Amino acid sequence: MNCDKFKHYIVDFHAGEIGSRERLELEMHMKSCENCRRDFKECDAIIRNSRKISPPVFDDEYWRKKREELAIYRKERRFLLKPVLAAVAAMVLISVLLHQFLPGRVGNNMLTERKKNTFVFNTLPVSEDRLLEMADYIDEKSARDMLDILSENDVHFTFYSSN
Amino acid sequence: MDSKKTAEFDACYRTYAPKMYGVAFKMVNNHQDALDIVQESFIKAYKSWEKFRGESAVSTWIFKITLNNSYDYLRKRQKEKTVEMERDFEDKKKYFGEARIIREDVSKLVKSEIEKLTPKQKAIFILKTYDGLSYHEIAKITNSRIGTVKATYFQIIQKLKKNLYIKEVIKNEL
Repeated sequence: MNCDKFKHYIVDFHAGEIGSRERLELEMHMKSCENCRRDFKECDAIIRNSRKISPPVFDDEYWRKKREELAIYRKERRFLLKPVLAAVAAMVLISVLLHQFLPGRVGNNMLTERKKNTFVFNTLPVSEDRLLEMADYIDEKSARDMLDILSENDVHFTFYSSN
Repeated sequence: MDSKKTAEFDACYRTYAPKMYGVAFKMVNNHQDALDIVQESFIKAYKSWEKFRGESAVSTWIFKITLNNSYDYLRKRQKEKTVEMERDFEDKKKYFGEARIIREDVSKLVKSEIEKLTPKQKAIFILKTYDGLSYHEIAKITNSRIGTVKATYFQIIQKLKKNLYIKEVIKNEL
């Protein structure tokens, strides 16, 4: 008798992943095989005893508090990263202003073209990943304020990929 | 993150945090560590929430993050924990005798055998036995092939059966 095959069926049965044909085959086989019947019971005992191990269960209120703790952390992170964001924004503005007042610098690096107050760059000032990561921490108000400053000063940026 | 995304994230936390706590608890067998794992996992999820492109289900993604964090915790302290549990068993045996411990602590013995599994074996066993996930879902979460998951689960059951049989646990149970 091919008991090896049925050993797999027994595990699949307890894993809830047995097909109806295999299940029938297993049931038929176990009627005449004591070893497999024993194997089945052993597998059952393991699963049953494993399921008795249960983690503590907490109510909704507990998880609400934990969610609030996480929200506080998120706000703190946002606050911590704001100076970094401000520094990057300042760097971009400074580089733009430098290019505006130093006409001979156009063309080599980031800035490829300048028409009045429109600046065309061939690369982003920082990597795209870094920008996306920082964007996670910009709240709507800060983003709007930054855009207001740029539009009030009539400064426009255009990025294009060199590829 | 805009308010819509924040609301989505909060809903995700409400739905999955208790479930992930269950997984983490079974992985590391300690309340505080499990809670830390859950919070760290959701912080990671929050950081990359915008980048999540929905190629897999949110649950699969959260499971993955939680398991990876659990692996890190286990790497740090698995050895220490196993020694501690074995010492506990030996100490009790001195006072009560093995037969009584077997009757009283079957689940604890099963637990100690589960503790001896490798982190990945443990993850597969937990996701299948406790969370009732399919081989297919487990394969996605653990970045494995379905055949590998199936074979690993089979090996785990055989291993537990062998080790627990030696300790006469199953014999008493049948």
